[in-house]
Amino acid sequence: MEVITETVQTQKDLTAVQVGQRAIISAIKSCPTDLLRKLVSMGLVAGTEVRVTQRGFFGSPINIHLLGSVLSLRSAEAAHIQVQPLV
Amino acid sequence: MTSSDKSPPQTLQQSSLSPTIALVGNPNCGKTTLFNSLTGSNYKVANYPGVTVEKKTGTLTLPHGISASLIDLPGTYALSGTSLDEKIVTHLLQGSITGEVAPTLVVAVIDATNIERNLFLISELIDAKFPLIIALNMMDIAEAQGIKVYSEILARSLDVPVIPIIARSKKGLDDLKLSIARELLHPTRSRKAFGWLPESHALAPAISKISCVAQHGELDPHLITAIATLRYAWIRSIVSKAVRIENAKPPSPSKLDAILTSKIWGLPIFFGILALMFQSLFMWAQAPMELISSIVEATSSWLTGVLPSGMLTRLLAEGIVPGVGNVIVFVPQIAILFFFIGILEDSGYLSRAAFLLDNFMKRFGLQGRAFIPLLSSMACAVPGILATRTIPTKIDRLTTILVAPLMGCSARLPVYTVLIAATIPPLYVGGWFSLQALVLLGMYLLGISGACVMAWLFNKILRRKESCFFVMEMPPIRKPVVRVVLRNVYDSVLSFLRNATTVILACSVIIWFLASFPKPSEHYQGNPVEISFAGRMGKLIEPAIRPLGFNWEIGFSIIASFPAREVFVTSLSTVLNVGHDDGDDHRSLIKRLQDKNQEGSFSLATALALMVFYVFACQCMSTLAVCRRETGSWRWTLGMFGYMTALAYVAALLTYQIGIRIL
Repeated sequence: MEVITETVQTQKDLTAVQVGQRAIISAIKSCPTDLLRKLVSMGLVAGTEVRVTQRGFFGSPINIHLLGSVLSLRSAEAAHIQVQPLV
Repeated sequence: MTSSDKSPPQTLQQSSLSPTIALVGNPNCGKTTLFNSLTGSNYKVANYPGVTVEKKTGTLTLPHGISASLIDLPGTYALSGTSLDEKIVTHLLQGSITGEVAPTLVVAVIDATNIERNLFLISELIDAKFPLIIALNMMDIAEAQGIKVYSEILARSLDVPVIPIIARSKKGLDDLKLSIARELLHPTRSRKAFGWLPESHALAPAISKISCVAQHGELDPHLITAIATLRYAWIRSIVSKAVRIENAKPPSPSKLDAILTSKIWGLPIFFGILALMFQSLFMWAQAPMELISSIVEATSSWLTGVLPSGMLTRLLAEGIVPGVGNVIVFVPQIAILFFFIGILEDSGYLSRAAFLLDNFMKRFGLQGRAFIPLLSSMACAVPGILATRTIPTKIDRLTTILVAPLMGCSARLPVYTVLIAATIPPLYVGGWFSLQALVLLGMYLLGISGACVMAWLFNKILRRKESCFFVMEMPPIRKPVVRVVLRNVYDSVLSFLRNATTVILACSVIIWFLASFPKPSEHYQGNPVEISFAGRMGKLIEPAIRPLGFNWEIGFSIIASFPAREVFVTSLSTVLNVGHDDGDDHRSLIKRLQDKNQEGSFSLATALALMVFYVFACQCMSTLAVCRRETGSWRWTLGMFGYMTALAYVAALLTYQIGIRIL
């Protein structure tokens, strides 16, 4: 998916979001098909709001709150998820 | 199994059989609670033919005198999912599993607090044109969070009947049953599919060619993303009409959750819970175990007293009663173990543990999700191996299966307990931790370390080409439902007892026979077992096991316990009992071994080597059978048996050789 140019400066991947911070997913990029299917079926599509709730040792896994539930994913998976942090 | 389209499911009028209703829904949507409420916990558990995905079937009594069978399917996020569980759901709904008919009606359970994600599956179900009813669950929790769901608006927008329910407190179930009956009698014939796809959309021609359920194959990632984005856009437009949020009290991840997963407290709490679990295994189980054990001994002596002396009496008193009894003794410990694991699972703690351990497990090529199958394997490797089907990537799954039997199942408990009680003094370390419990914990930790090392090794050998990933939903922390946990304990104990009364009974008879025949001649002076078949088998392998500190009695018991580890206890007790028909010598195995330990004929080094042998050895037919079914390969099954036996031999050898030098 194309990234909207004006938000480029504030684009991050999910691993860079602090605990407690909220962000809007802008894209899922270069991701194996199996994982992509899993992520989209769990609501990780462009436009969904997420909040990072917890991180494990060395930053992995990352727990995120979205659409009323909490998901846990590794930093490797979170790196595929492009977000735009909300202030 | 194919994913080609099947003829539409039969309606009630066409079918003379009782209708089949399938319950589907996301994990943690309350589907199983609804299933239990609807069937009154009166259900059967079986497997789908060819695959070991659990199939729970119960009977549902509906208004208008209709009776239907209700199937609880594994939780799934999408029909296009890639894990084995998710594929089974899709294939079952399509009727493409041999021996299973397509369900007459699908009841989809959705969680009102999590409605957007739940509707993703619904939109796929609508596209696939399954006869559908929606049970809108957790209305009470949604209300408490300030979420108001207008079920009529939802029903109109989706063009599917929506019945609000609260499965936990059994509210709305009558409406649901009525609606199910109505749908069975007068099925909705046509329903608008692909409502999410605007006709003018640039991708519309491409997408409309793909049947929703046929999306399993390789699809262009752009198309997957485009379809999902369109579905969610449609879902959001419906949710904006059907859901109103008033005084939102979003469930802030609870304080408890934050503590349980925190960097400081998470691991200490986890190890504290494990220590408590093992401590309880010994402390709570002691009294009931002693009671059962004394009943068994009394029965044996009583039988010898009342029955006329002869072959049959001896078979009963020396073979069957102590054989089966020595295994039934472990029911209290097994019940406690399953109770703990049940509480941890039902409260949602297991997912927190998976979160805590993922970093650690990653290092050994396992994923955090493998933690749940591996922990279940501490109760029994069979359900543990079955639980690996939730692992979506094949190599992760295979690695987990291969190391699961090292996790120290409850069938090892009898072996450990007997050996520990016979050789380890009942001291307390630091005034609180029982030395015996610590040795037991040590055996489990040894098995776990072995599992880690082997997983690392398998991961190196099977170097993956496929992607591996870890995405897991954390269910909310909640108070476990004791009734559900106890029901699981009951099921597990029952299946253990069924095993004890069939396999173990048969083994007891065979072992007694092998230990009693051929009879020694009149003027034979030594132990009669020594020249029996059992003695000969033991003696045959004795040269190989002598470096491990094992004698022929132990050797025979190891051979005899190939079908199931707990048979070791039965066998050793029979071998030691036969030939002691001098009246009141029906001492329990523990007492007999304690005496031998004091005499010096059963050393601590031997006991430790024997425990270590059982930590690693794959002495379990059921595990091999389930491994064969799950991996679909004799190569992996025999490989598992081979590597575990080799590991057991080497580890026991080291233990004994070091043991006799330092103890």
